[in-house]
Amino acid sequence: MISRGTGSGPRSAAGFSSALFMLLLGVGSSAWAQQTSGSPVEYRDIAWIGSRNMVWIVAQIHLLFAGFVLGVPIFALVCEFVGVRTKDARYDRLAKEFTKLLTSAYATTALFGGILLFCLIGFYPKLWNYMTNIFFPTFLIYGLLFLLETPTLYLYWYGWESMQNRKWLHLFLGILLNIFGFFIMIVSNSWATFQASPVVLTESLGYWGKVWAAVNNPTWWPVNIHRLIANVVLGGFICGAYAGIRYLGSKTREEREHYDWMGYVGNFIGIFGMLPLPFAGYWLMREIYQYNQQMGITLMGGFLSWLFILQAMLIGVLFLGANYYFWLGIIHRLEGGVQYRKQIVTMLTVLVLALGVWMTPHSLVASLQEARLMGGTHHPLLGVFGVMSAKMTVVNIIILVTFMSFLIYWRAGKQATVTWAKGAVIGVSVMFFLAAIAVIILGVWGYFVPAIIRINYFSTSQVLIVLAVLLTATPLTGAVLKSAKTTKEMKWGVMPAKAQYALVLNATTVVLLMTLMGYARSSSRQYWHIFGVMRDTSPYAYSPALGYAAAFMSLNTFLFFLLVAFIFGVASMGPKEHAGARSK
Amino acid sequence: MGHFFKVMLFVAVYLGLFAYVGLQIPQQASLPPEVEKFDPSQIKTKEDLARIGQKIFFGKGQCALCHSLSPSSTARCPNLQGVGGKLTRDFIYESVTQPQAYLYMDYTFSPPKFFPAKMPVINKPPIDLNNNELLSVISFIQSQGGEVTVDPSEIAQPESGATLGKTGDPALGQKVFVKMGCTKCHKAEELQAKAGKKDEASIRQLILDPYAGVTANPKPVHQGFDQEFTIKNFNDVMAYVAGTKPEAGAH
Repeated sequence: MISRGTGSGPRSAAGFSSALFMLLLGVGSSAWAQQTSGSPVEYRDIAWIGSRNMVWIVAQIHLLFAGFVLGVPIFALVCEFVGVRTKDARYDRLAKEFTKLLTSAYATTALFGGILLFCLIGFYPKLWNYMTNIFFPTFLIYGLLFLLETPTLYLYWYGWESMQNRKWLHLFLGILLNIFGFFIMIVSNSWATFQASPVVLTESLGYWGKVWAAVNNPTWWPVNIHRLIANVVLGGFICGAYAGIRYLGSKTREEREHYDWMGYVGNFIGIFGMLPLPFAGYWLMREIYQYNQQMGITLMGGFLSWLFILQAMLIGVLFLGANYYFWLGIIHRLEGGVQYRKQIVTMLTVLVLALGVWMTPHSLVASLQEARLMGGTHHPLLGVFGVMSAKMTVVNIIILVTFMSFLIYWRAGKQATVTWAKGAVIGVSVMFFLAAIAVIILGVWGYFVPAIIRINYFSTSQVLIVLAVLLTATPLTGAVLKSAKTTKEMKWGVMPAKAQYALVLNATTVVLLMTLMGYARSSSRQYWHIFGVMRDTSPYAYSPALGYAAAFMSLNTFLFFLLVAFIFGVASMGPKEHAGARSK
Repeated sequence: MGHFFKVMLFVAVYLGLFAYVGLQIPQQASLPPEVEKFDPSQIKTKEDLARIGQKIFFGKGQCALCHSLSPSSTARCPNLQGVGGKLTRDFIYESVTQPQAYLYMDYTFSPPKFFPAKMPVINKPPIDLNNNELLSVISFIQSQGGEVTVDPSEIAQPESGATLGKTGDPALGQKVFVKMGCTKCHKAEELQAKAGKKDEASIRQLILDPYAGVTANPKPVHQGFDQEFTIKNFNDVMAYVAGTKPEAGAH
């Protein structure tokens, strides 16, 4: 009777039940140190580095490569499609170059995925056994998806030239590649999100009902969407950095032109993805709060609250870096671009002021004497900027300014020919102005209403207003410029070295951001492997302080860049295609 | 290659700067909560109870993360100063165990909606206070401007190993232990060695309902024991597991 329902036989049932009984009797912690021959192993460790640190490094590198591998096919496909529609071969070559990077990174992603799996099985057998019991069917699906993804990628890459006359078939392969990649991402997301937001799995659900309930946990879709967008951002900025480095090493004008253009496209993709990312992040945080108030508080107000100052700093650097690259493009690539200096200085001023507010912490780091002089850790003036109402306002302003930078760059050197162009330009300008005013009014008003009103209505309204501007101004400007005359040609290959360093800075920052928020997501579970269900009883059942974590994030980022440099360097050793041929 | 090393140096310096900034902000690790040493034998007065409640309020209960005990602009949840004189014991109990049970309505909606409670259920995971801990927290809250009505006699005393299984027959229990298949997984000597560390109620729950409080349960090994045991058999097994010596003349 005891083995009834155990599925895998009485021996495993005996091990499982005795482990559980011992654990419930309160000897779980001693079992760690005294693994008797009769009891199943719950944890294993590794000397010097420690099992948790080992998993941290391997998982981080795997996830960064995975983000790149899943993000790049999205915009490679878009570039290829644009090439087909416009019959501009440059886009096709660019898409192919993106895919070359993707193919090079794919094997390394799988390699680190395999190492991660061995680490999890070896170091955390109790957790892994538990997860396998719940998610086993999804493991099979995951494997099947890889079996589909890999040949599709081979066909997509190796069939590029041979399918030039069957482009639609090649595009279809690209679509398939993205579909498989998307499902690979969401299947693995279900495991990680279940650990953070597990649900009640009652017997009445039945086997498949339980699997689906575990997969479709409350934070699954917010994380899916957030990661999908973030992967595009990561892919864009990494490709931009790659182009920047190749630009610096270019020997010919053609190469410089090509990599300058590639860098511009990479940066554009990164920014384009970055604009909706805060909204996806807001949705995720909202779901976390709704799932478990305690977890939300741990993230935003508990020991992780200072993490968001680091996040604010990185986002600030990212927005400044991205805008700086745009502005350098206006000045250097466009003849007479200096005429935009006034607008650039204005945007820079607004951006710096907004970032100043964005980075102001609620509680200042102060000595006891300074705190007494201030009357607490909240500065009498700056403390006003440390709350969510101010943060939400300025982040929307930052997005509006960045979008404005892009529109100026887009319109520079072009003269509209349609009769309604003037009206459209005025309309877009008025829209920007009204949106900024509305965002500020809602932000100030937010100080005087209950938090629930501010979160549910004011912050949401600010987001919707900015989204409305983005979604209206983009097609409107596109329509105006469709038949516009080019008065000043963009000159490619004339950007200074500092612009390429800006691209590298953006890529490094976005990787750091991903490592930082990965740490936040894991730490929000605190001392639980599975929040509220399976407690971490290992000696690593704590989240390290931010200083230690920041040093680790820097190490992981550096390792990732070393690997990326090696892989992309090796990928470039093949027979070289003349850059001139690319632009033709 | 020169530009490549310059770029990697640039990346390294930037990452070093980030790590440096990370080390400059306040450093706080998140340690698992220490298990409060709740020794009921040390609780003699209501003050003792409230004092333990205060420790749990600031420790395992994590109440102070949101609630303040004086006016505060940073507290996310109500200031509890003086609430002991305003709220009844039952209301406090209900507020912490069923936070959604009594809520203000938001009449800006039609029909009006409930404000979502920010309060987690504190006798469920992850906070998971037991009944004794709950009573002591209630005592502490009552002590904030009110009279403590929780009496130390309400605190459950753990049953010692000596009293465990005293109504059963260990020799019969040994037979039932084998018959019910317990030996497939457990060694009686190991269980007997640990029996004194748990009260009878906890061991009863471990056998009959081992997954209480566990929200995900893929393989309930002990399922159905509550239907299979008779009261006598169960008491006999308890006596055997507790290591009770058979009385002279008994079987």
